[in-house]
Amino acid sequence: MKAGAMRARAVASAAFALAALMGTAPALASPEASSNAFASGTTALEEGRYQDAIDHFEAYADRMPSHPDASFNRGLAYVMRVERGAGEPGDLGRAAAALEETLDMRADDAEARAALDAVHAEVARRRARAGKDAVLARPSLDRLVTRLFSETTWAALSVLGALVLASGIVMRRLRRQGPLHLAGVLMIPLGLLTVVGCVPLYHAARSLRLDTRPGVIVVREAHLTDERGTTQGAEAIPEAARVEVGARRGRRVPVRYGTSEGWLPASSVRLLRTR
Amino acid sequence: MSALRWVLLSLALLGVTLAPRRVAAAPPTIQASLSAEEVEVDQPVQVSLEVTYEGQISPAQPRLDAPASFDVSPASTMISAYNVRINGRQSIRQSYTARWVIRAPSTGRFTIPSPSVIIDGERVRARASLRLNVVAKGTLPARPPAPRGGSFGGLGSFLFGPQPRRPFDPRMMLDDDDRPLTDEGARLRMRRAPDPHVFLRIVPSKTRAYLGEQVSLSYYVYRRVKHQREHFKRAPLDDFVRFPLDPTERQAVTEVGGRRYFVRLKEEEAVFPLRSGRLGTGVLEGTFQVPRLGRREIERRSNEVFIDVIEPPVEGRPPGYRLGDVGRRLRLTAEVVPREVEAGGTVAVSARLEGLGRLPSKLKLPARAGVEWYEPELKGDLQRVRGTIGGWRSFGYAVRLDTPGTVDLGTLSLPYWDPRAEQYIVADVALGDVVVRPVANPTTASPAGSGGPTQNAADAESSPLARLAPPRRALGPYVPARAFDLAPPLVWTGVLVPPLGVLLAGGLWTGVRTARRRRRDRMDAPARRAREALAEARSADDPKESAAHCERALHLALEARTGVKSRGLLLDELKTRLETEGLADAEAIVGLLRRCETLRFAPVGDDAGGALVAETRTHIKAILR
Repeated sequence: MKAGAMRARAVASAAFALAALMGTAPALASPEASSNAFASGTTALEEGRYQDAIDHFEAYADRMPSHPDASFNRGLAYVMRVERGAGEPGDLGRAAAALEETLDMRADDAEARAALDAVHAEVARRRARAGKDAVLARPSLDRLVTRLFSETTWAALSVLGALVLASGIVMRRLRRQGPLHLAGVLMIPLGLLTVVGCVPLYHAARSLRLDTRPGVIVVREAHLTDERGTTQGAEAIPEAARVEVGARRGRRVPVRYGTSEGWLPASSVRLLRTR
Repeated sequence: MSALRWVLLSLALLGVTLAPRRVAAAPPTIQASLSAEEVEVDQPVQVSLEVTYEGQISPAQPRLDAPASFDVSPASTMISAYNVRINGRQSIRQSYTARWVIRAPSTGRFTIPSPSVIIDGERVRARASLRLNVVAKGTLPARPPAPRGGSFGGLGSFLFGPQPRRPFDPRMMLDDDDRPLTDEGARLRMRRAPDPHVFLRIVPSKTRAYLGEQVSLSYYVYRRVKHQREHFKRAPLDDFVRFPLDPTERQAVTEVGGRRYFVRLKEEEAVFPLRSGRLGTGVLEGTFQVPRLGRREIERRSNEVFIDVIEPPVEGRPPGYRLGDVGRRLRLTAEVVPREVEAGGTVAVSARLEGLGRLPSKLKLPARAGVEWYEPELKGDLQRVRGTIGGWRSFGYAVRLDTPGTVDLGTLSLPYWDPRAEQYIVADVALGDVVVRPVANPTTASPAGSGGPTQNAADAESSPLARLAPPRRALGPYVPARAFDLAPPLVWTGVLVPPLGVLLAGGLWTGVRTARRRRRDRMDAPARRAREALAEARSADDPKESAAHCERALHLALEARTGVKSRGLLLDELKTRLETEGLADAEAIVGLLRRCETLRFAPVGDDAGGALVAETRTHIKAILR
């Protein structure tokens, strides 16, 4: 009986430890505070107090982890402030940033997708009114290929390629002829190509994840400069555009937009917080 | 009042206005000194004349009218320049120094007329004459070790006033004496000197700060040698906002690595971190011309200071707080003018923020329906208040009111983090009510302008933002994606281990198999042949032939077992050898070999062959087991 009780206690302790280890991401603030901020923000948003709503949702966003619904409401608060005519410069960009965060956290959120499209459409409409062309930035080929899969997938494909290569070698050695031998002969180059192709892509995806962060332009348009602050003459990046942001240096951050690279004032880019 | 009075009053006012400018352009100061007031006959004494001035004057032609009997060396001159900041005004102060070495040929009390120099075409001299007492040789006590360079004056004497003069030392090194250090000198002591002559040092007031909190950086020049010209390149401070803090230079004597150094506070700055993380200040660079080290300029770089910058805690953070809003004793006041306005009109809200810190440039505005705040006009003045940056900033808002009635403008607030109290504080001010009168003729009051609060209906409808989903009232289910960091070593292990493992295992397997086969072949060749011979013996019809096969089979079996080529040995020797090799039935084997031999040459009955083969088979099995 005593041994059974001890075992039960040990199991409970282990379960507790496991739960602690596998628990959700570390929350820096109490859930109550987060919940209150969300509720207050939503109430303010419904009552038309957009600035209060924004303050509450921004306070919520400061707490980690964030939540797609809170980010959605934050984006909506900025959008409504703009729609109401009380918008501040960069509000559409801030709305886009919040909606991008929502989609990063919950990719199948159709409402957020629609809202983000609406924000982009509004930015394009305002640019058209100001006589400016819509800017279309195409990602460069390396980014396009690297972002086909996640870093983990590239790593898994690399390992899979290595396994195929190893199996090919084994099969080729086991049989001197016949279908197994033929399969081995084919699998060796296949595995080798997979490894050679996927390992650099894994490293590229990892480097992108660790060295850059997604951000959104929160000024009417941003002009890329060189490191000294001299304008490069490239096309301006429109508000609400999603960019790739490097490590901040002083008041400027390195930014990549499509194939253009340069520096922008840190205040003109809002970094996305998705974890 | 007569016209003359007015003229006199105007002239007086003009004089008062111009007076500070004259004060600002400080007149040159001239000082003369002796390195010793009492010397022995023929002992060298240095006479120095130092002119300190600002601006474009250039002293020239120094002259010393020493008594005729004195031995006077030609004058040596030197010009040095310093950057001086006084009350925020930076100027270049220059120092012209002339030196003579004189020797008195006889004892006595001598008055040496003060040396002179020509400034702006006019010969000027120091006020006081110099008095020298010359005594007989051997009268004065032995001198302490020769002083080095402190007597040269320059900035040291300029900042500290007259100091005891010592004979001139051409090395111009600071004396390693045992004078007690001042408090500042003691504070700036260092264990090791980065450079034996001159080096730069940045000293922070703290190395850990909140984002937006003030950190003071002091830039010091340490030197043991006199330098003539210096030029500085400021630390870049990319991640900080900087404000000059201390406009006055200070100098002290300190100890570095057990030796005395002059340390001069070159500049002090208040810096405010712009982001969190470990932020480096960069280095202060300086070039100096040190006569002792030749004509070329030497370059020195200071240490780099790193500040660990953290964000104020998330817990308890008030809504509307902006990262970087840090300060102390912030006070917010506001005035609203007018208090009554027509619908669609604007009132002016003038808010003033006072306190310590880099005052934020944005306030939290109250959100009210029908009230629109325009971008404020900012003014401000930040100053140094006892080592801390502080001051005031004003925000001039234009607020448009559209809804008739009494409108409560709400509260203007600024949540900020007080690093000393370690808590969030909200500075706020209630703005009160404004009476908004309805417009007499609504058609004229229709607000216009794109982006205004009431855009026309067509425009609103055409906006893509008009059809958005409603806000979400509750947080839906969401599990944050687990951060799964697949480290490169793990991936490389997964990539390299399978193929390399297979290759390695294949190679090992092949190697082992080859080795085993080779050993078996080595072992099995005689054994196999022994068995073959035995088989031939069994199938042979002739007992002689059978005996010959048996004998060969036995010899091969022995070779396979022991490696001994037994056929070449006498049977007696073979027995001994087999015993040495550890074969238990060596005698029986040798006996069998004898019988085989006998049978080959002395035939017996036909069945003898069969028995021999059977016995040989038994022995061979035993040998090869």
